[in-house]
Amino acid sequence: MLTEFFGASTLEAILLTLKLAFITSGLLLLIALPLAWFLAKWQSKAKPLVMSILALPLVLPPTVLGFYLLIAFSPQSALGQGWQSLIGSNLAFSFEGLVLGSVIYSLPFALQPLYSGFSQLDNRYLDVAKTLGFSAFEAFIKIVIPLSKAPIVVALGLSFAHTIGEFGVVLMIGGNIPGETQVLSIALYEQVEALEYNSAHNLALALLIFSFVMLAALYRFNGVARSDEAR
Amino acid sequence: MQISALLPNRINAQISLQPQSRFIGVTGPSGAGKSSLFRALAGVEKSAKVQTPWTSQKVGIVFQQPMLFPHTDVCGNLALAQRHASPNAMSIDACLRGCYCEHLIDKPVQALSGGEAQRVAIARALVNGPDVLLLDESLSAIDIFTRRKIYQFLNNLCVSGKLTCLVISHDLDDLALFSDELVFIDQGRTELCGKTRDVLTQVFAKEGFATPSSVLEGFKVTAQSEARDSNQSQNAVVSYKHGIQTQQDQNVLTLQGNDQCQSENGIERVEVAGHEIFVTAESVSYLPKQSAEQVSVRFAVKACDVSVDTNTADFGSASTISILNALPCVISSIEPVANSLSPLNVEENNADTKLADTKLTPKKLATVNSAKVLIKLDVLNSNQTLYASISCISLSRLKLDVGVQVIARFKLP
Repeated sequence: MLTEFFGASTLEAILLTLKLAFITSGLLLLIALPLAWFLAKWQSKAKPLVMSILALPLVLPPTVLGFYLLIAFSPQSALGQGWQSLIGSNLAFSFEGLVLGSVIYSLPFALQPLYSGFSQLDNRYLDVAKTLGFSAFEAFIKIVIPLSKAPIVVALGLSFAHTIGEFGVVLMIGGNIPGETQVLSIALYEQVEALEYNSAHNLALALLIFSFVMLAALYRFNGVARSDEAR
Repeated sequence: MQISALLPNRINAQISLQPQSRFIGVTGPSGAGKSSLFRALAGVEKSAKVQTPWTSQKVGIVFQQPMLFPHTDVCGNLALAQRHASPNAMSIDACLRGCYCEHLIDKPVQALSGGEAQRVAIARALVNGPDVLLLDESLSAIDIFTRRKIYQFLNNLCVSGKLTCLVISHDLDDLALFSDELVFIDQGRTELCGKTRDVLTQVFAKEGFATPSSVLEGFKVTAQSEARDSNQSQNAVVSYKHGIQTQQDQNVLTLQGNDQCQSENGIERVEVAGHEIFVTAESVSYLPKQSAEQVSVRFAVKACDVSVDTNTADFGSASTISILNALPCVISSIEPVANSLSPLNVEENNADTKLADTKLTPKKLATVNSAKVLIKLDVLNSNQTLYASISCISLSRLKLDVGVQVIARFKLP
């Protein structure tokens, strides 16, 4: 039924996009959790500088970021060369390159809610945990993460949704290789270019509904979590 | 026992305590640095330099805000505290019983009232088995009856040597009743430190309390001690030598069916300076045992509950009034009490008045704008002190003055 509605190549793009979004948001959670915790506790004059660098993808035109990433991924660069000698394939125009680009591009969307949640967490919970004999790592796992359920879900949701809707960076570093780098937004662009408006309508509507449901679920979860905290 | 804590620009406290003190009260005005001191002692202030005798011991802290982990219920909070509990820690059941919160075990944290959450927070700290427990106004939201029972439970742990408690409170009656020693903190420094009775006297003088509490210590009258004394007297021993007469046997009011009353009515009998005093069970706190035969106890008496009787000849026969307790005393000072509506004002003809001149005699009374006076009474044959807050009319009518011997009568504390 889905194949009939979207077409085989679009369905392939949907599955690739979901795969990319799951891997990216999973990796982002692993990276952003300790990074946000460190930043929330870190006191230094250099902190605004570091925060600005990490938040750059929020304001930078995706094509600018994509351009720099394309240069970094090329076989002439240290990163591209290192990847090629290690894996044996190009980083640019590959799914792996797409994952790396997506992680960098969506990092602030995962980082900001976590940083904000950790900054607002009452430190006395950690003081109590310390006097109860918890190590810093154990307190983070047993106390901080369960208490930060809402920011973690928001971070996951935002980074997942943002990866699904990614266009500029993917176009620059991934190109448009079906089954390898052709994600939903690129497929939609191609359908419009080919004047296949019916398929484009179907895909655009599906993306619209998905984005709306995702945001509504996040707002709902956040509201429930806040009222739980307030009680 | 020496404790010192230094937090730059916040506290610089040096506290010297007796090694046997196990329940230490800490008080002082808001913003004095008490909480910072406790945070430093608990090891959660990174910049603090602290020296305590508990370096190898487990220190627990309970804040005024209970800080129960909201992602789990009461049972979950206790289970988390038990993960790293000392081998000799009390069981969860014993802690819940002691803190009067067994019925809350399955409740979500969000469903607890402020007082309930404080009780659970104390139980959680005890489940972890600390050697030293710091309570930072941790019982402030608990009703007085439950609070006293929890203090008694904690005090019993202290008396049995299982725990050392440091307690911040603004309730001087609670501290008077349970503290072995009292520390008064102001502006980050230790202003006063020492035996509760002595520090309280200074605090009351310093802060000008209208109805301070005095702390009396004595021995609990048990069936054993009664049997021991029965050869000497039918009633409790009274060796009231007043320069006029010695009274025995008739001096203490004995309740009918006294033993029954003691157990059924929750009344304890305490021997203070040779006189039997009746005290409600919840108002008594136990002191570390000094001898196998005697159980030392302490209780507090509010100044407003003490009346002064000049008829010293009828010490033990005042059977026409409901006040049970009587102690022979000598007046050691009389101080005016500031009127809350019109502050203490010595008239202009005493313009050069200094603090010492505010000691009142009936003659001076007429010049002072104060409705009440605070009388300090030294209990005869003892180094203990009582306060009585009486009206200036009574002071004048009874011709009370420093050195006059009186009977202090007070209600069941």
